Amino acid sequence: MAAREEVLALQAEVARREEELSSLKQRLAAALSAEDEPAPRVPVSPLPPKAALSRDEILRYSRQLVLPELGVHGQLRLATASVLVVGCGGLGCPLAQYLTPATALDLVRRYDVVADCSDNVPTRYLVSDACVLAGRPLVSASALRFEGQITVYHYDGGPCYRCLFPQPPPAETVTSCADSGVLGVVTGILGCLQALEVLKIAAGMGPSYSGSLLLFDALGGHFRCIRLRSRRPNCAACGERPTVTDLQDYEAFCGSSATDKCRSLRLLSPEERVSVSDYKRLLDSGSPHLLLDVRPQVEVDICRLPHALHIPLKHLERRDGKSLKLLGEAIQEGKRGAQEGAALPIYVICKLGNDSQKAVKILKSLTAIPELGSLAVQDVVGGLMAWAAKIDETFPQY
Amino acid sequence: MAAPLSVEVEFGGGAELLFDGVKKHQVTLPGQEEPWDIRNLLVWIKKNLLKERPELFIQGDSVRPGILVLINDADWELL
Repeated sequence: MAAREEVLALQAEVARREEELSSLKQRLAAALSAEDEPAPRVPVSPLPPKAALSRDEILRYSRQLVLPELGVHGQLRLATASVLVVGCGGLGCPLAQYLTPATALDLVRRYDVVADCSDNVPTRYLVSDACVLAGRPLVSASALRFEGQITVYHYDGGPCYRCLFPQPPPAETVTSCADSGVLGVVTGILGCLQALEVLKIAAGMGPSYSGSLLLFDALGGHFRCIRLRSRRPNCAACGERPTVTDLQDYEAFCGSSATDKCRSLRLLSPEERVSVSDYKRLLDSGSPHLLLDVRPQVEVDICRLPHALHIPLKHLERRDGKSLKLLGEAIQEGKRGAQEGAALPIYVICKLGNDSQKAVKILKSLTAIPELGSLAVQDVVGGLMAWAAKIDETFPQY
Repeated sequence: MAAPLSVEVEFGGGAELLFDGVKKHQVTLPGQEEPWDIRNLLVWIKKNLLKERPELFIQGDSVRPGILVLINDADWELL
């Protein structure tokens, strides 16, 4: 009977789903308890040597197995090689902030090859020194705006990062991806080249960019390969008498923090600054004032406060005539709107509250606009990103 | 006396931002008593091409730490 069959089928289905549900519940319980405990530190043991490839592996890697340069021999080496990737793109890499020197060195020693994908100078020195001390080759790539670079350090007598850059750059000269931007596909291309170099080292084919530097210009569409200096005999890390015999405090060495985020400047006194909450209260009270946004045009195109006057910091720095005229007019107009004799305070805002401080300094020194001398000029602490975080959660963060 | 010298100067990796974002500059160096070398080229660049903040480009008589000087396809240090 059809009805009887349906009952049996439904019973079987219910039993199957109950079993599935109980297994899901078990997994949930396990996941919840794992969430409570800190993840155990699983030591990475050397991968066991491999004698042969499985049928599935042969199918999967068949296209590269037929390359005589790689072959089964290279693929077996790849299977047992371990690679440490430092820096998980996009997330940034505050490695030097979290790893004590000892753990960093321990970590590097457990791998055969290291890839540096970090986004800041202190981490680059940390990883390079750790690779020299642990005797590991380092495949290092970087990308900024439309350009990328890749090279291999400390491979077969080649130079290390310190041979090229014995001194860290002054902190204020370093541009980061957060400040200057980077095109996603450029990091993708550099990441692929980096994977290729790692693969060649791990498979025993040897890298192409040891002692040379590949420059990629995505706008011009060219690759250029530069011959680099050899290892420096007096290098502090890999030289004949190294002074770097252990890892050190790289944030102190570089005078900058191990993130690609902006440092907070302190150019103004607290009286010359207002918080986003104070500015919000003032805005809500309808009190006359002038809000001056000093970010570059590209950032204003991303998001802006509609009532702000926009004059980029660069224009103020070079005392651009047109911009100063615009500012003078805005002050005149604001004063007409304000009650007779009332003050017209100026608030300066930028992305994070650094450029706005520089702008306040410039505004206070300007003689081209006589009205400015009598006006209170302050900047907004934390800028538009603080505004987005604390006042208006619909305001974009970038 | 060195004759005027035509060279192509190129900035990259962010250094072009100190030169109004312009990467390639075709320049003619004037004739002078001493032959041109990289050291006096750097001084010439600072005087004639640099648009802002010289300390971000030059320190002492060389480029600031973090900038590599390349001649054609080789590191200056190799020459």
